[in-house]
Amino acid sequence: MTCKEVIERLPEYWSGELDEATKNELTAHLSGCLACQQEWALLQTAMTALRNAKTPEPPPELLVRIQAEVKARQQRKPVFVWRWQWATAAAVATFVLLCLSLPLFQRAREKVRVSTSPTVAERAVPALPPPALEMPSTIAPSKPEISRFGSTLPTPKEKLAKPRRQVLAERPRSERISEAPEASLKAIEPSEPSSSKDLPLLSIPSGEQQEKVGENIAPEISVPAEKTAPQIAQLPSEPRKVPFVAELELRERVRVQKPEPKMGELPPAPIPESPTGVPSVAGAPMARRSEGN
Amino acid sequence: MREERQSDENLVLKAKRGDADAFNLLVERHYKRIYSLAFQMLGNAEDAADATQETFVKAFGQLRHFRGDASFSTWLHRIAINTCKDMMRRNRPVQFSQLTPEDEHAEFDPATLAEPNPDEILAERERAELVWLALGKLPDEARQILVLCDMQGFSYAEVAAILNLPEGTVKSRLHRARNAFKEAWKSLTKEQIAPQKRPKGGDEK
Repeated sequence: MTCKEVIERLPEYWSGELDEATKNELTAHLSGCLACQQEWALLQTAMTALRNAKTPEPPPELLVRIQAEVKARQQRKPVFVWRWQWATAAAVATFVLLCLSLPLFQRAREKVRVSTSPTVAERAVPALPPPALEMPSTIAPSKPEISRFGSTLPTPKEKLAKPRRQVLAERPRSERISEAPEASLKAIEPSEPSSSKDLPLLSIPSGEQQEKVGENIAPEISVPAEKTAPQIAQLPSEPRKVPFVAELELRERVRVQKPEPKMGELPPAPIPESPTGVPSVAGAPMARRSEGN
Repeated sequence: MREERQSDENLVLKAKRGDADAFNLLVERHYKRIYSLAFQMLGNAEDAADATQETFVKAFGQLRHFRGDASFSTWLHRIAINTCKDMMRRNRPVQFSQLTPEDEHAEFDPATLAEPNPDEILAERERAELVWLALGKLPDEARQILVLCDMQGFSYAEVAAILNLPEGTVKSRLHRARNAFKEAWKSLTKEQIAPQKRPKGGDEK
């Protein structure tokens, strides 16, 4: 055993934790090694001093100081704990409520969407849904009137074929209305002079044309009478007046014409009295005169 | 007397239920030992008092976490050691002050004072001073294990519980710490002995 190993083992030798063989070996080394003896003596002195070193007594006020501090903490503690607990409970409750209410918000949003969409549709296209739906399959509701005049309706295929051809050939305007009502309305209403020009057609006395005119005018009047009202309201102030008055006149005429079965037969009564080539605006008073008669 | 007989565990249970007197009794029982541990670790009375107070305040705050796996004393010493470590980190380097007159007075018991041997008194004072100085030279790890084993007198198992280490590690660390303390002691005694020996000249050999 070398001196280094002996010195490393000296603490265990001092505490008596070495096995007998190692202890004897170490004792033998110490007896013959002065340097290791000095180290051994040093360790014994140091360890004795360490174990006998007395620590000073604590200051007399320390006990009271500690107990006062603990008491102060004890008084603070419950308040803090309750605050913390309440804060946690409030946070958890808020989170849970939020989680529960989120689906409700989503449903509410969906309801709003569902509820708003039909109203928008109604506002935008009041009487359009039926024609729009029937357009591809059959024909717009305005066209049954055409079918009355044209011929009987044997099969739906013929319905599709005939009226369209007729409309395309004879009545491009009604076609426009049926296929794209809004576009047709816009085309008719902004172009106020054109619509006002059409009005005198009602007062045309010729018998053959009456039917055609009746056919032409009837859809035009029946469809736009309802649809044009909101759109006219949106038009600028000055030019509105003329078509608006004309529109009122048309409505009145329609009312007058409605009781009678055929649209085409009504116009002839006022027509003879109304002079031909009447200007667009003057057409309205003429109609009123006819009604008065 | 009845309160004295109550075990620490009973007092802890009472203190957990909010019995302030029970915890005060625990403080009264243990504060001296905790103070001595803190003094041995920190080397001065002021820091030792602060550490002792902080230890009990922490213990009171963490009392509900005490499950009784170890004894209350072991648990309390663990808190004290950790508190001292925190303070040593904060107050580096640790100032192992020389003992104050009051401390010196407290250090010597009437028996030693009664002996009118000034050499012995001086030798005892010098030894005590050397102990604190030597401890101050040691790393924290060596110091805490020496304090617990050799000064506080805890067993290996208790020290292992306090430091949360295996017993084998405690043993090996303790042996190294003892050797380190011896080396520190040797260097300090050489410094003290050298000036005394110079005027005298030769030695035994």
